[in-house]
Amino acid sequence: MLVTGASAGYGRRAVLHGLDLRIQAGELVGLVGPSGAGKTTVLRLLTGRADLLVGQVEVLGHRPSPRRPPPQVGYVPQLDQVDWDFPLTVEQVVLLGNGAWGARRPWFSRRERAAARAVLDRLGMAGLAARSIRALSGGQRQRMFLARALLHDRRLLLLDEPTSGVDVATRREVLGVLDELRAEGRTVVLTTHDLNQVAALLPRVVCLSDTVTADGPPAEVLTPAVLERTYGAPMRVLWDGSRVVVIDELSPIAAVIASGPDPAELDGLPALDGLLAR
Amino acid sequence: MSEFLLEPLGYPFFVRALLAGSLVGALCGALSTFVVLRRMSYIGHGLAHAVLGGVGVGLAFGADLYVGAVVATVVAGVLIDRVSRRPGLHADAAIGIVTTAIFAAGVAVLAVVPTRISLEALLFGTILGVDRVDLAVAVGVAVVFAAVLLGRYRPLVFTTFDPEVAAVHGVPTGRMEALFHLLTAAVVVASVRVLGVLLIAAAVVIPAATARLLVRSFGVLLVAATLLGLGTSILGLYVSYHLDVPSGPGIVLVGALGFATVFAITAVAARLGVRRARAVLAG
Repeated sequence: MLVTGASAGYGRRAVLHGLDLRIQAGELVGLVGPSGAGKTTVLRLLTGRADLLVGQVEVLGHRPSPRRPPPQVGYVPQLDQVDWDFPLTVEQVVLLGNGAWGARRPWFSRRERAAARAVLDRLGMAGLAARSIRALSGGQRQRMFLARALLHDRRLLLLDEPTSGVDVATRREVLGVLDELRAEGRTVVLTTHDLNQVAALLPRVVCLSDTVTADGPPAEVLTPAVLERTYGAPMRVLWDGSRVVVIDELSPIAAVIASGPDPAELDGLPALDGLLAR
Repeated sequence: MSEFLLEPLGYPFFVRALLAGSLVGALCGALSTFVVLRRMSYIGHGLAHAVLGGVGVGLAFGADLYVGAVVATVVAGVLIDRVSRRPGLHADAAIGIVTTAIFAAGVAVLAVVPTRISLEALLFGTILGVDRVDLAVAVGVAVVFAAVLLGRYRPLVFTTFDPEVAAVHGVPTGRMEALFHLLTAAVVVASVRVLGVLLIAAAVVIPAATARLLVRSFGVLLVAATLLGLGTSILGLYVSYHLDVPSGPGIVLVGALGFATVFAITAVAARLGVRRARAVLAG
């Protein structure tokens, strides 16, 4: 997946400027940045639904356009984009992802249903196949959409805020599934607002603020300088032994740290726990 | 009872109206599933108004009723599509501007140019005026509608549920939108004679709105709304005949009464359910 010198947006309004991004097959990449930074627009650009004003975009060997989205791409939207009162069951939603638009019959075959059940089973949703989508929790809704994106054995998965509105256990579960998919050789690109619980756990993070402000492993990218450049607000970064922890300068935790020991002396989560306890 | 049902069947005009009305009722019922789920109840209202405008202008030029109706819906569809694509203008604004402008043109022309068609019949429908052409149009639209629905069911449902993801997954959502608008226009044109332009909007909403109170699956909703539309139309035509009221109001009043009944029954059932649950929890 290659984006070169791309300026893109909607109509004449450019949201992204001079974007350069190269993502190899089998990578798991997180896009972070403030609201309006262009995270969702990058996903739309990769599927041909944002207007490319300047530059080039190539996805799985195709140049995406509104009429010709690249094949083999699965998309998981933000949960609030969907009418959850729509009269469909979990299995019916997943089956919509099978891509057989040429099929002349409205009903799904036994083989198609078996494939949907297999994907649901993999995501721990087999028991919910017949449940109405309005009766699902946030985490179950995310997993259902993930199942739909996976149904056609797609090589590239694009996920818009897949961990927003879900509990801690579901968030870990979703990240675990995404890591498994990466291990299978699929490419996964997700957007997230959660720097500590999601971005810091990913192998590669791309910081966006109209363009790429930093790109690399979290330990190299999530620095105070990069974060201030990206978010326009000062942030403190602690090192938790194996990963970084980002703290908003205006948060109560930052105030506690400022009045306590030198953050450089902190070593690992126990020290942070100690600070929180105070 | 048998006299209530059989007596009107002795008149050829009523049999024609019953056949055309049944098809139109079923079509409006099926279409209402998509209209309600897309929250686009105003589209039936708007296109029906445009039809009147087209009919008025068409008659002034000596054209057939259906020629004016088809031209008006096509022109309205294209203009709505063009206007709503402009950033800052949504489909509801486009429909409000385009269809009322065409409606106004038709009313103005009908007020000035004498025509052989009654404005009241166009507005409220009539079972006396249903001829073989009207029946043929209803049959033609029903056949095309059924063929499209069977052949394009999956992409139509995906586009209705989640158009953004449908586009990414390869569904030609633009074509599906155009197809939906074309089907809506065809159903509206076929319904003008029986329902009248002012009452089509209700006929493409009430069946699915009623069925939605009872069922939870899309496929079942589609079938239930189609059957409700069919039943409502047949009963409404009998009401129209026996009470000597225009067919449009007869059909819509029967549908509205059905909706009110189902609404009340389901509300009482929900309250009883809560009461029962409280009693179980209280031991």
